Amino acid sequence: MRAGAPALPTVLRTCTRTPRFLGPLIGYQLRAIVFDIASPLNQNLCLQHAQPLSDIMLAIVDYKAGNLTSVQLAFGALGCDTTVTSDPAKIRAAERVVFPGVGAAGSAMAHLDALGLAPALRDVTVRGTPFLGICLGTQILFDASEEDGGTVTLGLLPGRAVRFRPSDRRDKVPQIGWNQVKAARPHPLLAGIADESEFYFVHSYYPAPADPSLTLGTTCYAGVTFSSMVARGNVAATQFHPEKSGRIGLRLLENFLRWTPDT
Amino acid sequence: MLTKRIIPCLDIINRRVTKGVKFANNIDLGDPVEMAVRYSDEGCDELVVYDITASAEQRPIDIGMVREVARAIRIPFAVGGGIATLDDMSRVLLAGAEKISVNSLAVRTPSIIADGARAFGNQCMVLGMDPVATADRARCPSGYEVTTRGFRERTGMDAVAWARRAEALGAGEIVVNSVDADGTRAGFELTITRLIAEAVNVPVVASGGAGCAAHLRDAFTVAGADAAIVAGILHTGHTTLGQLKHALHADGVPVRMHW
Repeated sequence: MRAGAPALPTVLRTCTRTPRFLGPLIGYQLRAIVFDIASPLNQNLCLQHAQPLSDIMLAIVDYKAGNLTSVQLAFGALGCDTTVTSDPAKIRAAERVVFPGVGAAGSAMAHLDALGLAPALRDVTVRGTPFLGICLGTQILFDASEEDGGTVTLGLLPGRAVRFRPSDRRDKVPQIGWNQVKAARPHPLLAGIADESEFYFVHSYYPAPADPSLTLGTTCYAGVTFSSMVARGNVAATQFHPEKSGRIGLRLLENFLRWTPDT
Repeated sequence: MLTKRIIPCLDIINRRVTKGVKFANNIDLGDPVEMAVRYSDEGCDELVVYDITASAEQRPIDIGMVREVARAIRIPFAVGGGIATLDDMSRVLLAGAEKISVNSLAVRTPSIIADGARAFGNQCMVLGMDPVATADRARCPSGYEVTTRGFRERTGMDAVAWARRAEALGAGEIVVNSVDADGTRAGFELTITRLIAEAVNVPVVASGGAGCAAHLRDAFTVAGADAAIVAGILHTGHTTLGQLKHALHADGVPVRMHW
């Protein structure tokens, strides 16, 4: 630090938004002070933007691809209020976006097109909004899926979704159950999660990124080691269901809520 | 490696967990939400909640209870009993359940499997079946016949043929609940479980007869089941999920050991 630099961090504003449902019990946490991050002292202190989870504007994209209740309940358990929406304006305005999905790629893309959501999804992923794909949401972030006789998907990540083709009949399709995720590299979303922890999977197709550097975690099933978790910039995506993966899954979702992607 | 699932089953009567042998002599075991939380904390991989009298009483499933269970746990659970229509399924899934289990309804109206799979995805549709051994190989070449209505009615349907048909209709998982083994704690009915596990490409869940960890091991390794349902031995404190998992792990069966 230079001599003569300010001795105290510069306080730019005090955030006093009121929690919507957590009540006075944790009210004392909600006066987050946002410092001027350009201040050298603040950089030295590595101060985090201490936004309470209840204040995050989190949009869960609703495109008629499965049931969103467990995603809402999981974020609710973390004290985060969510907006389930099909409105492109609300998705664009959100601070963080979750893109879940269960079902088939063909009908999912048809619904996305009918709702006019693809441009909004493209905007938020390009603009740097922290973005989390889950299961089918993850698969259709790629260029194409083998499902439904071949489906052109969003093309926000390079690669495609391919079907399990087990040579051993004991490997059932869909894969249903808890399987290990082995970290390919460190990442804030995996903070505090032991390597090779189990997460809950339900799927017949899996992501095959064209760029191996996208892979954040791998899982072995039906004779393949596939990318069960991918991340690039502000976009992260899991083939498994963190919202149904117990305490460890909740930790991943909490990490997502606290994640500040490198820009 | 995909781990083998251990699934406690909560049979519900009037919002209380009960346990009886072959659907008789029911005893009160506790509150379903409390038990769901306890088993989840102890590391169960999934749960099944059956509203066992809903069908007989011709009333819809207790949605309030489904909602409370969904709020309380962060692992998947299936719901069965009292589901008669797509609307019922939709209500159960929107309340936060992961899967719908159909049994007698699917025998009466097989198209409900296809309708449910189309509306909600195959992964939501679980076929439960209650096979019983039969000597009538003419009608049932596998040697097992499907029963319904809490084992009270025989259907004349071959259990393996029914499993194949349900898979073709869109069932994403098949629970094989042996009538003969149910409640005996003498082990799962390995023969029919294996016949079905070999006949279909979707996961198969062994049910009925769990008495100890070795029975689960046999269901997984001998019968090729992907998951096993346990009830009485957990509910009465005869054993714990931790004891079962440690024994299976020691036997080399892949199970989830950290949660």
